[in-house]
Amino acid sequence: MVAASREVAVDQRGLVERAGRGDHDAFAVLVRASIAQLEAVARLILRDPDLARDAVQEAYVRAWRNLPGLRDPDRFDAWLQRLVVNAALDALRRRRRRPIEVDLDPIGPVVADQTSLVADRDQLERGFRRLGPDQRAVLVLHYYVGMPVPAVAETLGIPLGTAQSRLARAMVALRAAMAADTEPAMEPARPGNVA
Amino acid sequence: MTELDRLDRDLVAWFGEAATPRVPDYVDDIVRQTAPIRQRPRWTFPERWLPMTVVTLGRRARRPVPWRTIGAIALVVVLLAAIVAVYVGTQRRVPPPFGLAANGSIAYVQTEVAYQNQTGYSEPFGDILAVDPATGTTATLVGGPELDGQPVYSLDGTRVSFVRKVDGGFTLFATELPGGTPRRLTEDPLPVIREAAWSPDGRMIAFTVGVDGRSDLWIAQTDGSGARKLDVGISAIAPQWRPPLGDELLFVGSTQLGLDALGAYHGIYGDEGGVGLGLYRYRPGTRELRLITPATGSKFDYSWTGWTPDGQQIVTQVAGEYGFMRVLVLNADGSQANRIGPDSGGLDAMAPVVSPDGHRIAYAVTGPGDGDHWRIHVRSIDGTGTDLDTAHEFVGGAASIRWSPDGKLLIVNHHYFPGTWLVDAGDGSVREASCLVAVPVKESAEADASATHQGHLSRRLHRLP
Repeated sequence: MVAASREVAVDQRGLVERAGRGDHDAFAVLVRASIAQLEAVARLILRDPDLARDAVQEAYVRAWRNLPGLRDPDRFDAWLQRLVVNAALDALRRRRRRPIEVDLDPIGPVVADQTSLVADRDQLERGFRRLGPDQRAVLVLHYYVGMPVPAVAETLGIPLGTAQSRLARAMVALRAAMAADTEPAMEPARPGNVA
Repeated sequence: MTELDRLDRDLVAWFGEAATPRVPDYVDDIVRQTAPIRQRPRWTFPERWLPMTVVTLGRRARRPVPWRTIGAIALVVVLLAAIVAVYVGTQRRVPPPFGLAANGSIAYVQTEVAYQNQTGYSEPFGDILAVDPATGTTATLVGGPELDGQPVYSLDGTRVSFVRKVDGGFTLFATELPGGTPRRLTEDPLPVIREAAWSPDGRMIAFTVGVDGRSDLWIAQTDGSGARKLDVGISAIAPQWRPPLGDELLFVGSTQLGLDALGAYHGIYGDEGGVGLGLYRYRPGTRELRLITPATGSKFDYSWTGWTPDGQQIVTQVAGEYGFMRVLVLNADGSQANRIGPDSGGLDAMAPVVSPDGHRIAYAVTGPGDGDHWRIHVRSIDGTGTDLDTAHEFVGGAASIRWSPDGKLLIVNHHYFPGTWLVDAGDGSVREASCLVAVPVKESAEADASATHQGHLSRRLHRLP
């Protein structure tokens, strides 16, 4: 198993080197191998399939054009993730004045044990939508991609301390947004109930 | 498990539920889209030929540019600059020699001789001295056996003009300060010389000459190259150069050339109407004469007329409703811009004097009744703000009101009650400047006050020639 993964890594390294020298077929292989997760990242951050598609396309175009500049082929995945996240953030910032209200259909099979979620799925969805682009990105990279915070910082191009505080603030903001969402509507005052 | 831990877990679960990785159907589009695109040449990437340490060092050192913060700061700076620009633009800026200046000495005449002038008042002639109001120290500006009077400082304070009694009349002189040799500016003796006014550049002095019952307008070159009468065709009183260029003169004129006009201007005669006083602007260069107000002014109208320091407006006094005097701010074309007065009606407002910075007007308000009791008021020239009523009540109209060069004090020199008072234009407090108590003259009780900024406030507070 270890040998197999090393083989894949070696193979990817070779593909990256070839693609960096202008071999588009090698780049096509890299695209097909990496696009699934990157597209999911973009969809999570953007919460809009059309925007996610645009961001992914833009990221791969940039990747192809700038691949000769990638000095370390082993860092291809992190580099590509960074391109996608930045493209998504750019798209989100461009669209900030027009709130995205398109619902995201589940891509994979629905998790069976929904009762294990303390928070309602819709609550999480609504709370997540209220977060800013940077907060969304840091949550997705950390909790979805599984990056440790230093890697998140490197991917987003921000200092480690900033990444840590941004992650903490994102969680607090998400929790607050969800709490606000669950508060019951204020009851109208009844006659004779005024102090 | 804490709530946050639980939220971590829920978030991971929700992410996994919401975005299971899949190969999108547009992957072939991306491959096709990128195929024709040319890659950027390898040599154009600094990372390819610079040491990695340098590249990463640059990245580490490079902080993200806070464009939003910079933009907000820039916006604030632009807004502040705009506010400042608008504020400065609305403030009339006054070039030198106008505007605020440091206070200097006050010139006055020390005399034992007084000559009765055309309007019946006596004017002191003797030596011209200057006193430092701060220390009380005096110095002689023009001494000697000659009889000199009517000293007037040039606008930059470096020279002083004066009138000298000579055989057959009077002549105009000017001298450098300190200790210059007096230069004669007019050749033949003139019957009466009044109202000398230095041009802003100090090259000319306008003055009036009383002769045969009329008042002629003259200009003298201060280098001594000559003086000439201006042919304005009417009797001219109280000429003033228009700031800041001094390319034209403002004066009070009357088509009636007799004494009645002058007397009305100075409030000497009782005729209330029909003397035809008006404000005129005259350009010596082109000889263009322009009447800017109706030529129907009568007694006291247009006394104490003066330019604002920027030359854009004129302050003056005219009789208003029920005969009460009103202080008016006119535009340069004679149209009315504002009326300045006390908040309560039924009082005379007159003798306006514009502050050196042009922002305020000091004026006298006579009390109801005989009008001999008056106070100095100070108000913004646009009529806004509160009307400062200085507490001190002056009695008797023979006095002058002048601003100190720094715009902080008003100098009141009284004719009937010899002395000088300094009025704080900020808080209205009044104190007597004992160092400026004038030397009494022997020949006329009316000429007791001899400070050069002496004017005359009669019952109607009018200018002493």
